[in-house]
Amino acid sequence: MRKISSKKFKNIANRIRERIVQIGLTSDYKVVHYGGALSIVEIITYAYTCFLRLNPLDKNNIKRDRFVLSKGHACLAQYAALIELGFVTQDQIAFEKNGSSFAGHPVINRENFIDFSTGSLGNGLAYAIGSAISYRERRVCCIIGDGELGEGSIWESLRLIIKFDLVNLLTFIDLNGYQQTGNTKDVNGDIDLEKVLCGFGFNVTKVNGHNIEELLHLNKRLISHKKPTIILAETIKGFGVKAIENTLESHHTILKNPIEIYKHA
Amino acid sequence: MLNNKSEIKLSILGLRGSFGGVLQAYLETSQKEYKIITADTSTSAGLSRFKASFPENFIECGISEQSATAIATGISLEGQNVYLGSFSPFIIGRSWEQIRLASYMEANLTIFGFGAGIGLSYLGYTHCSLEDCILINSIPNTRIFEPSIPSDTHRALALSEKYGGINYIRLLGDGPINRKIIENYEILDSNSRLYSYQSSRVIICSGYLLSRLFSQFSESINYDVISINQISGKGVDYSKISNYIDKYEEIYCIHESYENLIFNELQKYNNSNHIYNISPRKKFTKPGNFEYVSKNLNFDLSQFI
Repeated sequence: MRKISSKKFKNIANRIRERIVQIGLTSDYKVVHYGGALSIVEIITYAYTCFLRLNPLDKNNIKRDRFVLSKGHACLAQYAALIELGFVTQDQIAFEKNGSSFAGHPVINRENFIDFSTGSLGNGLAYAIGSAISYRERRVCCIIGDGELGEGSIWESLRLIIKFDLVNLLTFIDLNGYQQTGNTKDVNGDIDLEKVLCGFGFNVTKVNGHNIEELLHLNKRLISHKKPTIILAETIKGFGVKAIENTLESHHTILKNPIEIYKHA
Repeated sequence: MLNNKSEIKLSILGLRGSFGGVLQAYLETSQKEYKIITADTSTSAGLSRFKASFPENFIECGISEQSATAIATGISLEGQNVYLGSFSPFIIGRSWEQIRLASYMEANLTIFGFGAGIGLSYLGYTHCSLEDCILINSIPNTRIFEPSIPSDTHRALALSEKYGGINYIRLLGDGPINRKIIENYEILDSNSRLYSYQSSRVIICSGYLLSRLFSQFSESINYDVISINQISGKGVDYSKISNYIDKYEEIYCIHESYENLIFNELQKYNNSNHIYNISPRKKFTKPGNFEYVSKNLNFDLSQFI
């Protein structure tokens, strides 16, 4: 794993969060999927700065590492991270504009490090398996949502990750607790994910998905385990934007001024 | 290409049983990395020997067609050739969205679906697949092949690799191929064969229906027959057939599908009012063998005896 200081991590995460809001406000449609993007800021920062070994010059290398945002509606976080880390420029991100590669859900464009088209929930994890199995020296990181666990194809894929022993695939489940129509526990049922996933045979680690120290500590844990790993990341939907934090409405909403954004100190 | 000896040997196994042998013969000449992906069906299409010989190239996903299709998409987008297969109603019906998204991402998938049509109707309607052509045809950048003999399957594999995109090799029937159709034909064009009996009537069809027709014909055959391999999709060209059939008084397009794609495609080239659409009625029936179910669907081939 790559090492990064806590201070640097914080700065990157803070800027990604700011960029999510900035880019979202450029949408002509005003109503934007902020909540799920804001909940994965620290997870995506970890994925790009610690786990994946990506270089902007390496965009066309078919064997490079891959990032799959299975919960594609959170794409603002990915777009913001790609700008922040120098993979694309801010000018390239014409968010939800006609003909743009940066739509309201990711559209595959490997030159811009968007590795798969996602948005139809339940498919990204299987794409990640395809990437991981095709070249086992490659690292693949996939983020899925807790609401997305309602899709049967996710459970097919989880079984296959174990069957194919894909230790090069790191899966995060963003447990932000909400999906479009309500509280995830009410909609999907309240299951003991840790127990179920351990039963599948995963190395399961629980973290506070906004706690930078806990995320940085994952590096040690990942190296010491020989089984495929799933990180259960407990997060807060809309985290960092006071007006929408921990609300169902944050899933797809309009931000109104004044917009107050918290920062990691 | 398959030589005549291989063609005859494989034809005894039928289209489904010979698929593994044809694929192995094809891949022996292919240079590209590849994976074969199945959903608990590796023994159902003559792939067992292949699986034993090349386990590193074989991915058995179990009964999970949707993930198998999305995994195939992931592998394809990493630059490998992918051959994905299962029973037609499941790999096409259940995975339609994953196939659509594979096309959206410009992945190259060669999908082989066996048990297509009503060949397995004795197992119940869950195992029939008359909607699959409509489903695939509704997705951009797709092609449908319906081989009648093993060398058609071989050619479909070659064209799939050449053109990329989503290629569906629809394998109908599960019995041996009628020996008559691997002999005594003329090549009409690269996609079609003519079995000529100097008739003023012609049947145009595809897949295992050709074997079924020739099995019921008596010694004196009253129709000319044209078989088609690629029936629809990108790059299909019926122009030569269209010109050729002008001499016939009656033209019967027979397709084992709720939507007769052969008839539809031919009509784009030829507006003759002597072209007749012979396809199953859109309804569910009680289970039974091919003859029983086809009669109930007003798709009775015995009218052509």
